Amino acid sequence: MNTAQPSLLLPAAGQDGSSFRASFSAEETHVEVIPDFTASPSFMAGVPVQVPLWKAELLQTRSLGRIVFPDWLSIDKLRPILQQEKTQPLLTTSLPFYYYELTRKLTNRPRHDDTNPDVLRLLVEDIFQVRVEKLRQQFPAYLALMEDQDIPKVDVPGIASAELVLLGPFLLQALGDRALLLQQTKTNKNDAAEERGEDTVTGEPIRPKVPLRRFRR
Amino acid sequence: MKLEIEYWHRGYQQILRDCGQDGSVWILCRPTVDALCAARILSFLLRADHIAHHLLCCTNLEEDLKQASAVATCVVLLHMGAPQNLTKWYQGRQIYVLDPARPVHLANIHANRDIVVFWDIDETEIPSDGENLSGNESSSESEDDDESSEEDDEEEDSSVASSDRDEGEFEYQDENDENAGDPLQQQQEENQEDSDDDDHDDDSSVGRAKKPRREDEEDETESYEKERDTTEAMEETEPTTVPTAESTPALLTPRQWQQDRRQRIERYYSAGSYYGAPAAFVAYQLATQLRFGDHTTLLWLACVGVTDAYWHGRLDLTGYSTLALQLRQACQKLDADDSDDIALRARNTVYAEQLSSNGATGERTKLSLRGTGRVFSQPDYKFFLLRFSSLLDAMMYSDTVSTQLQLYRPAGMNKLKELLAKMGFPLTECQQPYAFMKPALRRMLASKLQEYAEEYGLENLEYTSFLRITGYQSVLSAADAAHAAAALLDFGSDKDDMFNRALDALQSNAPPRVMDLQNEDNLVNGGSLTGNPLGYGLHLAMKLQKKIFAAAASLMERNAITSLAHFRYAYVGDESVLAKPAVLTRLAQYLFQLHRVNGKWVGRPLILLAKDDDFYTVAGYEYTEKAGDWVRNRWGQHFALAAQSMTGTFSFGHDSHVIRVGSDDVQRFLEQLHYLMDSA
Repeated sequence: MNTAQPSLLLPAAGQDGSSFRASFSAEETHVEVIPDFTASPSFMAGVPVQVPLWKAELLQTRSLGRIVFPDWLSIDKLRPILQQEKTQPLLTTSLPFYYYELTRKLTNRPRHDDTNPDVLRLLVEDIFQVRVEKLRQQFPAYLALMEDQDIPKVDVPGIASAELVLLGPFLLQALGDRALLLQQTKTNKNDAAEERGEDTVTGEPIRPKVPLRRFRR
Repeated sequence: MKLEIEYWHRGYQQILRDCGQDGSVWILCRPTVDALCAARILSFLLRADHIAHHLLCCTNLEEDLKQASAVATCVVLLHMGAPQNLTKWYQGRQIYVLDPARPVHLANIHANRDIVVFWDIDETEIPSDGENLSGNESSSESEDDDESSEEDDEEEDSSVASSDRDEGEFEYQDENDENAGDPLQQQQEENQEDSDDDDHDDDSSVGRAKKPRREDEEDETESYEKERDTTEAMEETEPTTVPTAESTPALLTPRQWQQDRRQRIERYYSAGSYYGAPAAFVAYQLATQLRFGDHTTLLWLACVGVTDAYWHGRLDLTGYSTLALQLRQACQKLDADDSDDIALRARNTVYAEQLSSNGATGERTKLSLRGTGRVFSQPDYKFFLLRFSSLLDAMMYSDTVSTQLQLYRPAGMNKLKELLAKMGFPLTECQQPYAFMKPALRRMLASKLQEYAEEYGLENLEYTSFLRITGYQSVLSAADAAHAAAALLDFGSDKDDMFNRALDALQSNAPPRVMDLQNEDNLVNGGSLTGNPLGYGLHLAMKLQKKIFAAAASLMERNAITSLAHFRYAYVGDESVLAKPAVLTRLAQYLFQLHRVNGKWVGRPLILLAKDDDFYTVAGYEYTEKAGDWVRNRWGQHFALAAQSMTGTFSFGHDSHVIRVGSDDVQRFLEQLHYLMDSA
């Protein structure tokens, strides 16, 4: 590997701390909590109140209250969403941005009511996998959209934090490398064209200067 | 003071108030599984309330208390301290005692609020507060406890012996000072008071020639009575005695009343030692009184603690049944019992097809979900570590089966194999690890045992046991966990190291693997100390059980149990693990049961002596008619009496019925015991 060139190795998932940051940011979401104590003005025993997730988790750890699952976190709501994801080409917008992290955090503890937290986890995991797969399949289409832009950007409605964490680094790296290759090609072509006195050429097949790794079969 | 069960939560809240923002609690914990479970429960509570706390394994109570009193805001004693006079060792801050050992030293009950004893329901008459209860005039047992309380690692030499004598003389002088002008002091240690006390007590209200300690005691008494009248945050408890002599003083002369009172106090101490509810159960009750009743982890720890108390003879059968019933009700409240409610079971099973599509036609794939640490109660067999060993091993090393079939004899083994053959279990299958036995055989086990076991006298093979789901559908029983942790504690040489390992083993979220018991040498496969302490503990537990059985068998074969007029005694082998009191208790229970079935022993108590470096651990056990009964253990007084009436090196530990004697003095000690019991 020629180390003088920017590395084509992708960062391993999670090694850049992005999933931790996402999990941390998810704790700002507000959830409903039913406290067991009364501390005016906001907490009255038995009365649901909206607090950030980090506060709710603290209360739950100290057995001072219990968290009420948000509306979308139920089998009845998640099953249709899974169906929708499997059939529709676009990502659903009815899930919150941090749905994956929230599910992980909320379903960690055993619950003493009817909801089975493991089933919810399974459902959310399935939804996540379907969405990621859809994004992967649509990736070339997105690339095509981004081709003519200087700063490539594409609007994906309904994307969530978990998918961004998974695909984000790859996307950044890949688009960056692509831009670099394009730029080098253009420079080479322009140099060559200037030497020959021609206009700059685009659209020709890209021959990267950096030797690509050949994969054995 | 006694803290009654309804007010335990107030004791805890007092801890919170005392500690406030920067106080810290010191939890001194005896190395038993019961205390460890209570320690984990307490630690959970304190963590939830953001109170800093230290957890220490304590073998020398006096030293640790002295160390703690300088630093701690308050001290919690788990499974120790109740029978000793704590007012002597710890001044100032508060002590909370969760100790099943009884009788509780009267000074602890009638002290002011500094010493809080968590009291479960106990109908024993307790002598009320008043004269003759000063901290100095302690029972014979606690005097010995005061003098020397090391148990394990310290070196004992003759200097301790001389200090014993010195202290004894010192005590003598103190009492002499107290009762100035009264040269006659009691020589017998059974009497709690001076024989000539009544003269002084009559003058007590008049003459202030009392020594400072007596005055303090009276001040305390007065202030205690004043406090009793005012309403405070913590409920005061009235002494539970209703002596008719006090309420009708006109009928008895003061001297007679004094004598009557002395007799009551004497009776209180000399009836023998017994046990109340285990510390772990007390801690769990405390947790339910606070806001932590929903946590299955705490319930599980209570189950393990109760099972451990039962196994080590601190609970009799009725006690265990009562506590098990309460725990079972708690289990059902937390997670409704699956086996009873089909609808609930249906709700808890999930099929993959339910998640992906609405209709479920054809075959469905059942998903196995995490068990989330659910605790439930089920009748289980009294086989030893059945889930982690083979059926044959489990039956061979089970106390019930082994004693009933007299397995130390070859004829007994043949009977066992015959039973298995009758049930239709091939021997090779029985030697497989239980988890790998044919499922058909495992399903048959229950019905076949019911059919054939009675012929061989194996009637009560089942008992209510508690099981916890760890990981995905693997199950751990409370007995297994208790055995594993106890073995880790018993085998340890470095007390802190093994204490920590046993604490880890109680964490119970990692399921130990089935092969752990098979490979003694191969500890890499999940039975390593660091990797899986519970697995290693199970491996040690089996080893320990084999050692106990081997020791018993060798005693029987060699006829090494000598019978004297008042008791039997036996020198148990040379291994250091056998010198632990807990192990000796199990060995004694095993021997008792063997001989009950034999019909050879009818009544005498048993003393076991085990060599431990330069000392012998001497433990005395009472005989009961049936296994699982409980009789108050009076060996504490006998040992104390014998130790005081002869020269030698002695030390008491936490239990009154266990004493450490120097190796040179053991024989004489036994003779002295016999002589004293003869003359009594």
